[in-house]
Amino acid sequence: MAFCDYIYSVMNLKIILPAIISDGRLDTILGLLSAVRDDSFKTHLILDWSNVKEISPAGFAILACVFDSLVEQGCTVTSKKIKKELKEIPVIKNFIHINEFKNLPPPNIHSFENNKIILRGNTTLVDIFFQEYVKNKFSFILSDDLIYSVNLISNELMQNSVDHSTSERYYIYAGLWKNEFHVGVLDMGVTIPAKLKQKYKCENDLEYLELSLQEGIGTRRQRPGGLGLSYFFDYLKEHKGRLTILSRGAQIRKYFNTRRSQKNLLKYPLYGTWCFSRFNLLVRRSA
Amino acid sequence: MKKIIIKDIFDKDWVSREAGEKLRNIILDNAQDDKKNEKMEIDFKDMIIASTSFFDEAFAKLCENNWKLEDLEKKICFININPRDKKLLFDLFKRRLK
Repeated sequence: MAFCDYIYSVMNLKIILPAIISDGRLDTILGLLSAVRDDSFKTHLILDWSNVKEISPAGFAILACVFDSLVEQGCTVTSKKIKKELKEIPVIKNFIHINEFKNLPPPNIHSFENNKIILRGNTTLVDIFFQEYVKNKFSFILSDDLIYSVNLISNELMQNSVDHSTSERYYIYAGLWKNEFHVGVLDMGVTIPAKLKQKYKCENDLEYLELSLQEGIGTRRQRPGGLGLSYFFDYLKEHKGRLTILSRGAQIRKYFNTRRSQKNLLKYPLYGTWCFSRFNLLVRRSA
Repeated sequence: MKKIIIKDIFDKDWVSREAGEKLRNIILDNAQDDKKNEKMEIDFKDMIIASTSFFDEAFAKLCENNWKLEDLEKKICFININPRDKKLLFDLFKRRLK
């Protein structure tokens, strides 16, 4: 190996993106976000897209957050082996041109929709038209009940993000994925543990995250919080859904079809809050 | 009878706590000015709210002004409200009463 090749290799960080980018396994993505924040970060990032076969609705929002973090950290990035069919999707097209962005572009640069997905990048306000988009695009497959549930959940998540995270930008998505309907909101702002620490004392981030899901818990001083969340849970239970929340050092995954929960501290922290919900479209509601 | 058309007043925001507070203030002002004890009409035509924040702030918080469930039914006539929204609204009001 020539000396200049050696120098080039030690200055680079190469990440092979997973085959499915979704709210499932997030280790690689969280590792990537952590690595670029690290003081010892190499100067250049190589993203290898060769394994990427599928991107779920949440996956596009995740990629938008990754893009923003890379621009914020001033990374130079080379994207390699992106499949042709992915190249026309705005968030991926933006990755190809990421080195041209010296400052964060407006979040709507990543917004897009196709026949299965809506992704919207928004600034400081609740996107009141999102429910209209969902209704127009998905009413052919979603019942009125489910559309209402999705609207309520997306409104709650957007409201929380706007009120608490002060991130000034968030991504909201909705879309079809196999036999499920997905909706969620992602921001890279003040995290739930950081926010709750102002009012409560817990041992670690997982305890803060668990606390945040209890009714009556919130950061407002004048009224009990978590009101929207209890409805959120009711609707997810009704549709045998699933909820995943990651915030700073912890994640909770609640599976409403089995009443099972998975809770753990994250290997790599997320400096933001990501909420993903999934509804099973094959569930027939009891009368 | 005072009539409020949600779509006209809240054309840019019908989701947030701020919007809900605005509606609650209108309701309270109207109740205070109303000498004839007339019902107030609130028309939700073409609107689905689906926001606990809005309903909690606009209606459930009327409890803090000593409104009871009967007051809500006696003083306000809900027109063209989506049945799921109506259920959510009354449910939130009852929770506040507890």
